[in-house]
Amino acid sequence: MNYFKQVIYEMKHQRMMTWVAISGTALSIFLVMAFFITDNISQVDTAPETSRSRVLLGKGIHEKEPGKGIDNSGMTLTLRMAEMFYKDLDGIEKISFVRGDKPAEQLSVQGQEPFVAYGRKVDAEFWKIFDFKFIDGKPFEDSKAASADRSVILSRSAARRLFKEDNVVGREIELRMIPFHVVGVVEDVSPLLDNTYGDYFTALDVEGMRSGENENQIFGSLNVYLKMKDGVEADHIKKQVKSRYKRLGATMAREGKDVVYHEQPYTIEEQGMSFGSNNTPDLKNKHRIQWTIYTILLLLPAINLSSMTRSRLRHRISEIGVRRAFGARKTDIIGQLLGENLLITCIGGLIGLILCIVFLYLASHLFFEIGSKFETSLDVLNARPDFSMLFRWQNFLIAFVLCFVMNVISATVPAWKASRKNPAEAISETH
Amino acid sequence: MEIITLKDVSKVYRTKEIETLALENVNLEIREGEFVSMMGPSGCGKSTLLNIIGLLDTPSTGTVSILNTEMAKLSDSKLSAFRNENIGFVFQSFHLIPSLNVIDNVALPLSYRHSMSGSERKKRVEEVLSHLGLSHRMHHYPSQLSGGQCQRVAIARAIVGDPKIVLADEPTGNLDSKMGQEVMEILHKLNREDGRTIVMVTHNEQQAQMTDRIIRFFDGRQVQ
Repeated sequence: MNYFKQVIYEMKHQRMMTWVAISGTALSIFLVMAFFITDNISQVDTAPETSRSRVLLGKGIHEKEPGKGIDNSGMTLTLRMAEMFYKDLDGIEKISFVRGDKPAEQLSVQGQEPFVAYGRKVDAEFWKIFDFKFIDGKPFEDSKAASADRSVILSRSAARRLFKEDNVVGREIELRMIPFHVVGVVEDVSPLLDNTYGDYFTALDVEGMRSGENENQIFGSLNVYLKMKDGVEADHIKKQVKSRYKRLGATMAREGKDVVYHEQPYTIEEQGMSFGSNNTPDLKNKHRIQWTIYTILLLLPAINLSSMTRSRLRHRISEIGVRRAFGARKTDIIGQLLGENLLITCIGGLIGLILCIVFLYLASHLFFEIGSKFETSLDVLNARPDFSMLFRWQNFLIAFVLCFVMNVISATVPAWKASRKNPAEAISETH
Repeated sequence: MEIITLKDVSKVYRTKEIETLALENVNLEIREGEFVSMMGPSGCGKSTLLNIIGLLDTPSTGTVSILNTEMAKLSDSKLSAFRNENIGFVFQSFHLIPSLNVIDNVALPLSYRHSMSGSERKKRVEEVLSHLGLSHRMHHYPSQLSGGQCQRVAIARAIVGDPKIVLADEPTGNLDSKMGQEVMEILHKLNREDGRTIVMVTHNEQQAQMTDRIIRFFDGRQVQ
């Protein structure tokens, strides 16, 4: 209790130093949190992507023809290729084929001005892999029939823009001037969720695509979502896909061609990395960069606190001597000084946390804008990143513990030096 | 019975360029309950000796025994505990901790007695403060007290742990004569009534004359 009172007193009487130490710690925790948040956004489970750790994405293919110096890559596959790589893999619970593009199309109801909206073409399995909340209607169960019927599922925003209400199942809309009928309305999804964002969803007749492809074609229009069974590791799936690539490569070698395996299908973390279909996501490098940034951000307050501690101690050497004279052991002195630093870290951490929460409430739209690749004309209701998507207590605790450890390390050396000072010399020192 | 025994104690301060002999072969015995004053010109080594007796510094050669225990044999943490239980300090410039109020300053030695409960500490501090007429200043900070009051608080801190020995380094050096007299009266009372052994460094001949024995130093040597 004495320590606490004393720290408060010291803080009041050395305002400048206290302010620098606390604000340095707060800023570091805030910045580390900001990094965690941006990384989180692309990985954390949030509706409708509630099983992100179990969902893999298979997309492009990279073909080479060394003899001719040809190097082709594309972000989408033919159905034949998609099935060759990803169908019937061991450890997969569900597989969904979707169109890889998210075209901007004109949406309207008769007699109204059309507006631009982003659409997705997905099969029936898509609705089983992702956890959409249906406000009205239900997902289509038969892709072929739904495609033939020209069924469409709207986002809540799209429904409101078209009909000014949410419950619009059975109503008709025009998509590219073609009539479609609404079979469902889903809750808006943040454009940050790349795998599930869409203003409307139409049915993809997967079987119908087969007839339109020729055998030698590898670049098509499909991406594949794979939901792994519980407990299955992504590596187990990747190994199987790699061997299928090898088999295809052996066949293509006869024509002087090859396919390059780029560690597909991608985990959610790999998906979040910016790369094309002709290179491999380098997770190790990403983590190296991340930890370098975290370390720098945490080293700053550590250096700051270390010099603050040294400076504060210079003013308090005589006090340390007096404490030693009255029976304080070296460990008592070190304990006291570390305790004081802990308090500064706690106060700094609390301010950092408050800053972070305030920032998230006031400026989460920045994440929304920065993260979005879409320029939807819709006022995407409820599509701002959910607070739980941005903020996680675990991340705050990690940032806080790391900051505390750094602060302890930074305070230990000056505290240890101070505790070793000869008490007689310490008492006679004046500042 | 001797409570403090120094045998052939010397203290040399060494730097790269210079070697200074602060104390030379000091032999000293102080009996339990004695009030001893140490006198001598500035720089003669009396404060160095007081620091060595108070276990705040170590002699370069010679032995120091307090309460029949040879101090060189004790580890640093045992020395701390020994100081805490047996020795109280009163400094010329008080050395109260400015960030603590009177009650917390006085409680400082007890805060390192982990066997003592918080309520026991509080009770003991209040007793001592009341004994020294400082009950009404308990929640004041040192900056809110006069010099005499500060020194009384420092004395309270020195005796709160009930030490057998009180070491006072020019306790009246920063006080006017009236306050100095007051402090001396308290020290005499502690000696007479509580039986504490007091070793005091002073420049004041009159105050020294009032103690049981005067030990005089010159150039690091005990001359009388």
